[in-house]
Amino acid sequence: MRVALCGNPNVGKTTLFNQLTGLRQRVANFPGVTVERKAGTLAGAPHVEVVDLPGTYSLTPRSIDERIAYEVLVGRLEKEPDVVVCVLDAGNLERNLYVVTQVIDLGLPVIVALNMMDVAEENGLAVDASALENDLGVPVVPITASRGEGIDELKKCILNPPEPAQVYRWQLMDAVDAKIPALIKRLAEEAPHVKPMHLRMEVLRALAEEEALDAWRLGAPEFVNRIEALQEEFAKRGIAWRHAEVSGRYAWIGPIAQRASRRVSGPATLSDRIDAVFTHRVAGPLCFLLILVCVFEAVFSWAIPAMDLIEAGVAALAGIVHSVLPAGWVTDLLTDGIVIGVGNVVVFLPQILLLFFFLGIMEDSGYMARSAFIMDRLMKRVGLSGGSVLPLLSSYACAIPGIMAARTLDSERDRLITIMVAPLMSCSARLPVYTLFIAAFLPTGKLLGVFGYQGLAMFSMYMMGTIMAFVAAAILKRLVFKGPASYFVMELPPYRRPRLRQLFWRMYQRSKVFAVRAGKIILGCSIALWFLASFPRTEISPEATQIEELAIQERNREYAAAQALAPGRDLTVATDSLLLVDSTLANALDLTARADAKYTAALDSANIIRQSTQIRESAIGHLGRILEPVMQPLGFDWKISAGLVSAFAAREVIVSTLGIIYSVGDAEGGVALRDALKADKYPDGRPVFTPLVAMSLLVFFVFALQCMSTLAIARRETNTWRWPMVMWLYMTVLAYLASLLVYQGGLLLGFS
Amino acid sequence: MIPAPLTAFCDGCPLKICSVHGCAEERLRDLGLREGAQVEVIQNSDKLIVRLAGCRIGLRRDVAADIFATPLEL
Repeated sequence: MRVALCGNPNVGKTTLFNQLTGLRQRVANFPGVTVERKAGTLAGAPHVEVVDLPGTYSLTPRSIDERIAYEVLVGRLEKEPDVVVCVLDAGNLERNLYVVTQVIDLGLPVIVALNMMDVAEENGLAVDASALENDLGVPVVPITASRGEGIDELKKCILNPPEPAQVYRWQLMDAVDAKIPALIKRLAEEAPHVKPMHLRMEVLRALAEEEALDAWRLGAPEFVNRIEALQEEFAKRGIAWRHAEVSGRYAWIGPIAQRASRRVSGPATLSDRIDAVFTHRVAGPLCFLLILVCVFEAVFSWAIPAMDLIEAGVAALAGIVHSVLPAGWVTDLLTDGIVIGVGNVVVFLPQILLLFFFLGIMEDSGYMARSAFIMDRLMKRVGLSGGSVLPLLSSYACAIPGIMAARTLDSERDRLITIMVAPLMSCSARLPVYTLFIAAFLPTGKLLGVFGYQGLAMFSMYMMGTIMAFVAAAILKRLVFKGPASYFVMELPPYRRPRLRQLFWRMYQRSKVFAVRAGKIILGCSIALWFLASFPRTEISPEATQIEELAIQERNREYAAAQALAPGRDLTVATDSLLLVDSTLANALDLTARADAKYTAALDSANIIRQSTQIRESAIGHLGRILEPVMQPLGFDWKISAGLVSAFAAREVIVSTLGIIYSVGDAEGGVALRDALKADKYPDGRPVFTPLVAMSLLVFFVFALQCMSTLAIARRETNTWRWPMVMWLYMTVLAYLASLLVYQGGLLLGFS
Repeated sequence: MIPAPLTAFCDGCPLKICSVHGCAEERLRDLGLREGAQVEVIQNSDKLIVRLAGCRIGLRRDVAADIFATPLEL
């Protein structure tokens, strides 16, 4: 019985050989060449001869050493061995396994000796021998040859050799594979001395190696002709035939080596050490998630004071303009249209600046590239690459910087897909809408006593958008932007301390682009919307006039009553300017003060009714009623439809529109609006807003593209109106269908 | 020895690139991963990190599988 030791150079083959044979060795030359043939008998089993073959990386040999190993294994130099022990460096499984697969394909019984387990362990690598055994289908014995560990097990295994494993379990690329059987047949006819077991390997070798092909020129000329014709054909078709076998084998080995070896600890330099955490398979995504949560928390919470300040400033400015200019629609346009419109843009600046600040830090410190690296695995599933992660994340704040950030992508196709799905990520403009409806229509209880329903609902809004963005990306990739799979190659710069000056400069530049580009559009839209909501003018509102008249009568009556209480006294003077206040006068003054307060409140509500009538009779109101039949299946009445129309310019506008329609004069979506929404009823007494309608509306907002600025930025970035239009269409259809599904499905399930 | 894909090399191996293929071919050459370049695999897990003249390049496995290299003789 003969055992051959085979494997890559420097894997400890000779050490193992010495361990197996003890000192019973003979050193000779292989016949005809000056390559040492080291052989010996197995310690304790004199009938077993052990041959130490020269180290080889593959059975497609280049050097003479390698050729000897090959020729011994195929039985050309001497009788082929009964068992082959493949010695592997446990620290470098993948490349070592290559030759193992070739030996297995020879149809010989193979035992794998997994050597240098100690070194692998020291280098922080855990190798799973049994996983390897399962995948390869041959016995795997972990050994440490230098210390003699595992030698006895290996000996036992050699003395009870396994059956040959199944051959050719790896996949050759289809185009090449299809041609192989005909060539095997040809070679078998021309060279009957080749063992049937080796035919396939000989064909593959002849195809890939000039030398191997040349060797057949005399013995099998027709075979050589056919191979050469095939090579020409492949070259024309652009098929990488020369690497076909190598790629095929590695494609099989790769996952096997992956499963079997696990890196336990990282390498050494500072960036490497940081990377060992940040790009780690498990820790990397966790760190990324943590950083993300912190950034978004900061963006949302730190921006609030500044946003409040801006809102107050804008309101104050509108008030000043109102008081300085004469009343009239031009003044209204200036205040409600232009000032508020610009305010709508400026109010997002704090969030955007903060987001750019954090993104800037991530970019300058070098973490950005790592985040793309980490997320690549996830993005690959939907056909994108890690590069799309940041544009999509930025879109949580606002789709505009997100779409702009997509510029960094190499692949034009990836960039377009990223732009197309970015608006599905729930941006901050959706937040006021989510807040209003969730607070109004969802119970305040807790699921399992931990997660509030409202918080869960909010979270699910974000999840829905995100998941749909991935689905949409996958669909777009399949249907619209077909082509070869995207790849991911990215330089990971060394970690650096961000420079503040540079950081602020870039923040300024980017915010300027946002404010100017988006500002123009939002301004235009705000003006247009204002016109739509203000014209045609309806100055007359009988209801409001009636309220006003009643209020005046009421006040006069109460004044008269007060005067009767304190006859002859002047009730028009302010209380604090009187030196002497007796109880009668105090009571009378109290009455008048209450009468004044009532009167003012009545005037306010008359005013709001006027505004509400104005909206109902305005172009937008009409539009809402035209849309009502279409929106009814989603559970939306004309008011919501009008709100949706107004929300086209910017989503959050729906809150103030509803506020005006419902005459609560509460543009902030506070308690009054909530109550008004809940109280609203159709003529037949059904409530307009039910939790189901609210859900339907929320879902609509998750998916619909109601943002002129996004369309404009997409137009600028893609340089055509085509993609923005496609984007708007698919998102609107998606929103409609999703809302339809929620509402009608909800009705069917008996929800209301 | 015959060239093997980058995915086959263990951490810290000094290598010389022999050939570059696949759809990312040109991009890789742009990044300096071209024939004859000396590289070192720093991380080889679900993706690869390769050190090239002091800079680091992250590669998806399928991309790295299209780069063939041999160990650098020291």
